Amino acid sequence: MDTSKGIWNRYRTSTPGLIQTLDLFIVFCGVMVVAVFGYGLVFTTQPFNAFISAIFATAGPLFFTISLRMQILNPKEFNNMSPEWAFLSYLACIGLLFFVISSFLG
Amino acid sequence: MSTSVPQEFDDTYRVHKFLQRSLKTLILLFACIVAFIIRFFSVVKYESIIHEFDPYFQYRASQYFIKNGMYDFHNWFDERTWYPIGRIVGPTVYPGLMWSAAAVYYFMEFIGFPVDVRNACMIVSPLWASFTVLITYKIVKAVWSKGAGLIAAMMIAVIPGYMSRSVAGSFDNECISIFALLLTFYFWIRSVQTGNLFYSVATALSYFYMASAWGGYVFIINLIPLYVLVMIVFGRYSDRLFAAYTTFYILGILLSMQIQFVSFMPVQSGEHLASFGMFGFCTVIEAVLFFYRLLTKEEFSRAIRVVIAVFVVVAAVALAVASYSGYITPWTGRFYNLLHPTYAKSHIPIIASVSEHQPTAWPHFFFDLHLTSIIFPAGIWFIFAKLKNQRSIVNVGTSKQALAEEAEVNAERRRNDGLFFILVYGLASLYFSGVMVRLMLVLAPVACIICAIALDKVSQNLFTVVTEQFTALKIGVMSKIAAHEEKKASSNKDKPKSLVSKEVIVSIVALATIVILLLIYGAHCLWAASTAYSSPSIVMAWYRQDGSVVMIDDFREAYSWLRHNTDVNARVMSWWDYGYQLTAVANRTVLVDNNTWNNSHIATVGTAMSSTEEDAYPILRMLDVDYILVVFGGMSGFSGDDINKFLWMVRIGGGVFPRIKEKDYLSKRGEYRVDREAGPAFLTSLMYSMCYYDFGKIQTMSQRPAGFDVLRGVEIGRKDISFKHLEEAYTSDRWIIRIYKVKKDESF
Repeated sequence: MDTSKGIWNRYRTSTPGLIQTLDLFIVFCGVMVVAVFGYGLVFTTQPFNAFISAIFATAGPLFFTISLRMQILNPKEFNNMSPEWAFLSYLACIGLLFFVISSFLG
Repeated sequence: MSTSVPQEFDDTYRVHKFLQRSLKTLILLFACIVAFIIRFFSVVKYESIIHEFDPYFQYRASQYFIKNGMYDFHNWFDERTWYPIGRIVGPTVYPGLMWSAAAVYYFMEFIGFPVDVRNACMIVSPLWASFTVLITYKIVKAVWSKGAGLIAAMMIAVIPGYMSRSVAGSFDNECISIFALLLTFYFWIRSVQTGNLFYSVATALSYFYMASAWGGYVFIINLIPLYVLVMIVFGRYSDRLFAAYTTFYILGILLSMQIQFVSFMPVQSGEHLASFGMFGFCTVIEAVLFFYRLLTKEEFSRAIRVVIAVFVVVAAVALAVASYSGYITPWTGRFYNLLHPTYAKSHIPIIASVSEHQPTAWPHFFFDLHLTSIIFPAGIWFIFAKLKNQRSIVNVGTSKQALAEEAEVNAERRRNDGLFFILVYGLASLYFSGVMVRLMLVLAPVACIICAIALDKVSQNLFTVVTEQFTALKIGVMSKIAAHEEKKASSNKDKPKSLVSKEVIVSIVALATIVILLLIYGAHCLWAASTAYSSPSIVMAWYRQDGSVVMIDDFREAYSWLRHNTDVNARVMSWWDYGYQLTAVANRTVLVDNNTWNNSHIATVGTAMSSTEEDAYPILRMLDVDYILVVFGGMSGFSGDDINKFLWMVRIGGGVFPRIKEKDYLSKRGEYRVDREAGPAFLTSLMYSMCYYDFGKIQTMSQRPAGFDVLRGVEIGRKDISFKHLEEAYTSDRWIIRIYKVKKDESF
């Protein structure tokens, strides 16, 4: 218990506030993925294209946000990308994802 | 010496840069034009006509798409093929080709040069080859240098391995898919090098285009995870790789599912499992790294053991459940054959019989790749040499120079991630092109790239030697002049030392050799283009002894007869090779065509061809056949005739109808013959009868008996052929196509 409290405090103090918000969003998306998948397992996966769309709609932002987090925390690795540019590319990914999902949803 | 000016304003520098850029543009333009023009040999030699068999279906589908629009095309049910089953075209076709043809059609209309659909289809191949030239340049520029890019661009413009499937008129999936493949790889390389998600979006969109264009998109979705795995194994894992791969995976898979033919394969088939596995693996690695940075050493080591144990158990259980319950389909025939090359021959004769699926023979490698196949290993070596000792440097100190060096080394290392991809792509495609002839096409671009890398490196080294020598020469001469002016009287008793050293001579000779090799390569490609890969198959040319040309146009003659002399709804039975041509050119309903999706229907046709007339007649009536078409080469010497293909008909028919046994169709000694010693079942079969009807009365060659089969070089075994239920409807000029009408007896 103490170790997990210690880990939590270390996390709260060492990561910037913006990143903590992103992490919260990541956790939220993760919970949603599990929820959608669980619903599919327990009840039904039909219509299948709607199920797949739901999975991608929750898993997509999850991984895009992880990538955004990485790009903001470690810009040297990404050829000195500015956070604004990172965010713009993030928006492009989300845009394309939901554009396709809106058609795939049926 | 004047004071130095900034480089941008120095005139010599600017002129130099301008010349460099113009030269580069000119070379690229030239390469594009050559790529375009060299593919028009068949149009010049024959006419503007669609080649082979498969392109006829693509052409007919493009016509339908342009005439009826997107919605009707994707919901098209084709009743004129696979009678009486029909074919649902929407989910069984890769629409990218039709979209591309329509794009060309509408673009030409837009700029005021309207072309008909056939010519729009003709233009697609050469135009996309020009695009491929440009994208190859961009790829090599991204991983190596501009010079190598230009060499690669020039080489891929003419390489026969690519040209074989992309001449004007060869309107098939491959002609646009190689461009889509390289486009996807270019954006993938850039996205790994920079970690920019825009590039990942572009990769996903190009992958969508590729998935719409060719079944070979499976190659991409397995090569990229293989690359990620190899990168991880070689210690080159980085945040950029994670960002690039996960974004590409999510967007790419989602987009590829939009295509009806692909539908839900990416989440259900074994062919996509590798990419999903790598996706999970990358996520796991990233999660582990996150906790590694957050936790202390002991906390981490405690946690990791638990997590690994749990993960292994869960993954094994999930995989076992999914595979055994059949939810994850195993690799299907065509693709499984790539990993297990002898599988198809023993289990799935249809796949084994397709000539494009045979393993590649050695001469074919050299013919298709020529110079690039020889220099390929050298290129691989150079790539390894560049990748050696590429460890990223961190924290060497805070001095400005150290930081700059560190940044440079790390930038170089990031750039080399792309080079690593070329390596993996090259070696993987080398294996697959050895298994299946059709995949030579995938090897050709990377062979050009790797060969260009080698040639560029070698040329650079050689040029450096030469230019250093000439600079030294210039200085030496000038100092000699200066020294001479100082001395008044100098005796030239000393023999002047040789100004040109041995290394320079060798270098110049080596450079000249490279140039000559490239010229030979170019000449070979030109020759291959003009002779080997420019035949439209539907029209053939023979050269008489005096050099004059005879055009064999029997196919179109027969299709034209069918088109004008039979009822519009007549049904024609032929072997599946000619199905597409019959529906597109003759516009008649066929029973089986090149799509070969229904094995038992093809087996029924094969059985009908292999049985006697009496046994075949019920099958013919059951299938409502009006006409039967066979291809016969015994009079003209045309080697692709149905008699040569007959054993495949027997094997496929025998696979579904056990009463057809292959050994009945072979001679007593087990040979396949058409003379008196032919197999007894073969002599009485419908195919034999239809091909050799009335042939026994013809004197084909002087000094030979009547009924001498020119192609097989023997006198035929049975000449007294007569039909009870068929009558001969049409035989083409050189007896290549023979059409028989089925008599509908009232008593049946």
